[in-house]
Amino acid sequence: MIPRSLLVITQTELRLLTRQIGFKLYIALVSILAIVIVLNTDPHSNSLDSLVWAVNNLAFFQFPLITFVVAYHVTKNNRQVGEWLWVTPLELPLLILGQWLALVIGFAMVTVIILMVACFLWVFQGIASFNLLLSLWFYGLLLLLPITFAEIGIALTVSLWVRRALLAVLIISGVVTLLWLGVLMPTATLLTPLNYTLLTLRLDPIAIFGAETHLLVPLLSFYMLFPLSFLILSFWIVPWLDQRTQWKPNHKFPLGVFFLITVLATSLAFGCYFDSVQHSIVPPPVNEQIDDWAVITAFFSGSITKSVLEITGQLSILNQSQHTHSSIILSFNPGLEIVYATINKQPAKVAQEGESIRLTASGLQVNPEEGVEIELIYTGTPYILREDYALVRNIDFDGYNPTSFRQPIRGYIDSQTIFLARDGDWLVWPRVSFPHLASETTELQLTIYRDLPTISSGTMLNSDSRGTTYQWLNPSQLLLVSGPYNIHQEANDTIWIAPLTHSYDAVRGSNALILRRALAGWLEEQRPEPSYAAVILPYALEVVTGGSIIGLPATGPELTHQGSTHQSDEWGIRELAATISTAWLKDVISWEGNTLNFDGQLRSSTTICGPPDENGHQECITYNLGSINPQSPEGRLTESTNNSMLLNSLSIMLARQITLQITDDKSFF
Amino acid sequence: MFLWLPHLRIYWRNLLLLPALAIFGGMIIYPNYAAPDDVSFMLLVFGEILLPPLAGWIATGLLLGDPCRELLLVTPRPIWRIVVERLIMLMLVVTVSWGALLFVMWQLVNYTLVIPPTQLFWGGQVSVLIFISIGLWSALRFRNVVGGSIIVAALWATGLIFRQSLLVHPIGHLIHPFLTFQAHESPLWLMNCIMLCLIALVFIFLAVRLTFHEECWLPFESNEEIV
Repeated sequence: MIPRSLLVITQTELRLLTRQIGFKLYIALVSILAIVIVLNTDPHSNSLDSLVWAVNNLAFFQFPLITFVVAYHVTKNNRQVGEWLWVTPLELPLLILGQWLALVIGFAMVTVIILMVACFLWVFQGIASFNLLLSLWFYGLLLLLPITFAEIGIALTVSLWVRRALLAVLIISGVVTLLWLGVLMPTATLLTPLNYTLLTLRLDPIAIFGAETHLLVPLLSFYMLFPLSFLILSFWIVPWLDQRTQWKPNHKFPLGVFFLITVLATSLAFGCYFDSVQHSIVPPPVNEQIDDWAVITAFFSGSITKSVLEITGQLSILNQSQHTHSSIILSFNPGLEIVYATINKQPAKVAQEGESIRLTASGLQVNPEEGVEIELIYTGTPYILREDYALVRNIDFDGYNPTSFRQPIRGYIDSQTIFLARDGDWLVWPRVSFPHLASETTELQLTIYRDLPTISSGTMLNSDSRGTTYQWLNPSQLLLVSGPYNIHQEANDTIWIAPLTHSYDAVRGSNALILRRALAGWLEEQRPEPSYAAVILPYALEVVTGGSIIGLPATGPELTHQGSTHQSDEWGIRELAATISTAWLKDVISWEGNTLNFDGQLRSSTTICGPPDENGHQECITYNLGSINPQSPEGRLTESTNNSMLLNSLSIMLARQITLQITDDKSFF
Repeated sequence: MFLWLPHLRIYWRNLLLLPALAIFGGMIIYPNYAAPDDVSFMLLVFGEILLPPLAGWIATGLLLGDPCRELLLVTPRPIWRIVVERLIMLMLVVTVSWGALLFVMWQLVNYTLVIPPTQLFWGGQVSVLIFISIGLWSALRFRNVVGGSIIVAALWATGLIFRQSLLVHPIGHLIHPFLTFQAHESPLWLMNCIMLCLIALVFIFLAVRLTFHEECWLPFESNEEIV
């Protein structure tokens, strides 16, 4: 039961806070800050990217301002007011709790209003639509409120402990500034908003928090919990610092228990966050058995229930290398787990090694040109690595570092969203640079137990109220997409748009359909009343085709960063035509494979070498770009696009031809 | 007659932060940054980025932070004079702290600073002057220390956020509060110093004028803040 005196103190402190001219100035400055941030939003960003950008900036710049208000508000008790407090029978914990509650309520109200103003401005800018205003605001609050909560907690605790407003302001502002100027980097700390998770946060228009949930939940929980621990600790530290007050907490035992609980919960949240960070870093690579195996036949059947994938696979593979292998390495998503494995009907041992598994069996020796039968049952939720979907940020003003060691996203599953492409590591396969198609037969059957809109390039075998089963024989790249889409009908065709996507995506989807029809009318067998679909893919950064479906990446800074800045004009149509042509050609014809290699530059550091001296020796200095982008120091096995001259030429020719169908743009070459 | 001791006695805890910060800065800079350009950068971060807002925040309390403000109103000494004396005292402490740190670091790196020490010194001093004047004026204008401090913080944040955008136009070079940090080789550096000094003098003049209305400075917080 909450003591009445706590409510009275909270009410009084809130009244005093709102009466402060400093608090009014804080509101004015944060409003101006929010407007400046919104007006500087990249127009090519989707609403969620803009939200993350605004939250990061607001969280960072509001911190010193919050410190001013909090520090002066709290330390007023050290002046004349304190004399009145000393002679009242008031318990110190109640006073501190009341102050803290009043500050939380006051600043939370400002945050709620400021974010609403920002969302309205985005609507006027055309970055977000009016009917999504509340969703956007809600997601923004989910991110910004816990950070604000933590900032208030830090400012309050520091002010209580150093007992002087100016010193508290100096400490916090100094640390924040030194971090921002990069002096205290490369260790981007957990206790400031310059946290690498928040700086590189990628919210997807379809999956929303999606792949970031496992990082965000413990981080935001930590932000909520650790100020509480410090606050309770203050109940003992404040009377110790000022012996005159004689303010010792009366309820030591319950307070002690509560303190222990918060400390344990904080440690747990930190542990979970640390664990998630480790999982988001690319595991060390395994540099073996690349292109050593050829798949003869492959059969997979499985199901997806909520976010859990369950697959039974049978692979017949042939050792096409010159070496004898005593183990078999297969690419495999680290989020999945093998339940059962056999090699030639013999039980096999499985060891996870980075983004692959190593299968061994007693006496296994596979000679060149010898075949092996593998059977596997595995389950779990495949996860995608931050390396692949989040842009790399630098703390300096030049923004983004060049990305390296990035793999295309070819599979994503959560409770709301599914995106499955054939060559993804959710489907176990030897490490080959060629498309994941067996030389004889590749068959896949999947049952999806959910009732969200689903689009698939496979054949629907059966469908009932529980689920739908699809089948693919020698499948194309794009297999299936499911999620909370809004479906727009255009004649016989459909455009699948995510609720929070950029308005450009509808235009791009419409253009993609026209281009696809032009391509089909020219090069494909004519079908009666053909229908096509364009779908915005979660997390993907490349165009993928599958039969009559075109999967497009969502508009956002990732797409802008790749050079696609002109998305609605003729240049944008040309780019779209070129990517669709390449994706289509790769889908219908087997080309020379991509290259799997370890080439690339670690993004956490850059090396600058001076001119060589007379002995040819160069002095090189490695600069750390900040630990905000953790990365496996060994690099990673990645796939480099290895387009042949013929493929490039054909793509350009096709793109030109289909572009002419919808524009008069003859300046293609 | 310049009354040093009473002013020092009242503000010694705030003023002590300045040399303490300088010693702390020296302790961080010297062992960790050996290269001359790194030392110059760190000295600029200290003298032009960290020191000015701190001095500005101290300046906000030069009148309003006086624990016995009522007594000032009954002394024959005009308030404006007391404020100016305290301002000079603050500026002197800043000068000594910043100058000592700069001199010691200059000696320690064997006179190899990338930026001339005089430019470093005056760049920091001018920034401090502008922050002090604005801090003093805004606190007196709002009759509130927090209000003044927030204005100082806002000026500081604006200068840092737009520190590159301001360099696009020559006028930006003239009014840039951190020009030595951002573009010490700018041909307008001297003009920037002169311009900032003039602006600072205007704010100090306005602040002094505000002190003429003595009845405004009667403390009222004890009537308002009874919990």
